[in-house]
Amino acid sequence: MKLPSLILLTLAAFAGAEEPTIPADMARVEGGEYVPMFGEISKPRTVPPFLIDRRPVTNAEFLAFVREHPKWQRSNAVKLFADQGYLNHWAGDLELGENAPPEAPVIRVSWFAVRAFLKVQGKRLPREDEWEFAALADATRIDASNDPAYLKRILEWYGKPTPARLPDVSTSEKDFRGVAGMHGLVWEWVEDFNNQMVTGAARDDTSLDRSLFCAGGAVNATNAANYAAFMRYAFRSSLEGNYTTLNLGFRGARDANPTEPTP
Amino acid sequence: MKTPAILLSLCLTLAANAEEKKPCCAEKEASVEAAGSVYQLEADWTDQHGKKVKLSAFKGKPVLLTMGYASCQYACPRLAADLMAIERELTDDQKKQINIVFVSIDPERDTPEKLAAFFKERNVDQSRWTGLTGDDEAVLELSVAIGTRYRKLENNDFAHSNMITLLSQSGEIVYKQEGLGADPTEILTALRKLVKP
Repeated sequence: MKLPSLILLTLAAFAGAEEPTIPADMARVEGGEYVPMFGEISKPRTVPPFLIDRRPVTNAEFLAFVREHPKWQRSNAVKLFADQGYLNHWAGDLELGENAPPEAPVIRVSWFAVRAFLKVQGKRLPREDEWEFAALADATRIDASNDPAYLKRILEWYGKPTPARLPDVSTSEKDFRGVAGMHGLVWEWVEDFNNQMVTGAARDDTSLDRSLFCAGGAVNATNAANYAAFMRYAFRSSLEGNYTTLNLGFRGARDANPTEPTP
Repeated sequence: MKTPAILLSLCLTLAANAEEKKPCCAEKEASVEAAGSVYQLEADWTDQHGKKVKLSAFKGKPVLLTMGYASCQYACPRLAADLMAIERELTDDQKKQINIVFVSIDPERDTPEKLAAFFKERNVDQSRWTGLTGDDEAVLELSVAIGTRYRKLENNDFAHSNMITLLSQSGEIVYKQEGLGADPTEILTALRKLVKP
């Protein structure tokens, strides 16, 4: 191919190329630094930009997935990957029933199952740092975690019993990015839920048991006032990959392309 | 709502949820009952000789499995020593009936050569000792499947569970020995049930 043709083709390719856009169901979270509940206070972690689903995955969406992937239907799920509570609030393998409204968040799903779902979507679970970083936000602020009123509202939700029928995902509060239901709807899986080494059952008992765990760095709690965050870490540390519980759902995430514009 | 009221409410919630299914107990029991073979994990691994293997290659013999990393200065040498202590308690015939697998949680640094050197330093019998390194995804899946916890730290070291898992011939978890320098009586009892005297 001669050089002028090559240049023309290259120009045409640029003219036809569309700038990558963020899918409508996801929001971009600009990265930043934060100190996790169990981290080194003098060493904030850097969270790179990422995309996160605007709401948790619903029963209807998960039903569509299991229709296409029978391996993940309730009666077919392999026990290594999902315990006996898996989707047991559904009326059947392919029937939601009255306790699983289509637009309510799907619950009773294992880590292995939700990763299979997200893989099909071209997504992954948010990492713990990503989820916690996004969850610092409220309707107006990037980080509301030092506001006692914000923490109190989250704790009040943690104090409420899980209803037999969860509300639609559309009813939950949104943060300033338009991400709904980070608090107040369900607990959510994260990719690296198994990264906690803490054995203590209370905030003042969070030191490492060095006979059970090896660690080359500090892993003690940094912000004991953030009891809501402590509860999330404690909850995750009690999970195993095939566990399913009555208020544990999930949402997807993706690495962000640096050039992705906000829609 | 004042804090004590919130905490009380929280406790009541946990109690209410517990009536349906105690997260701490009932689900763990269910999980144990439901435990399946880890040989269903299909990831590719590389052993200390550079050979590609799948976990299912170990099917047919009980496996003593631990996860750590070769450059670990604290627990991993002791975990290896604990594995050797268990091995020493077996008869020569029993030793031939098992595999011992050390899986690296540090794929970036633990090359096959490094795992081979880790074994050579300890003078272990590499006909039954295997070191495995795989990609991050393989390591994460296996760690979740057997309940090992780990996290990479800022200084490139890892925090991780000190655990030796006994797998049956079919790859099901039979026993977990937690902690360093643990009394091996129970894991040996479980292991001897799986092999001929």
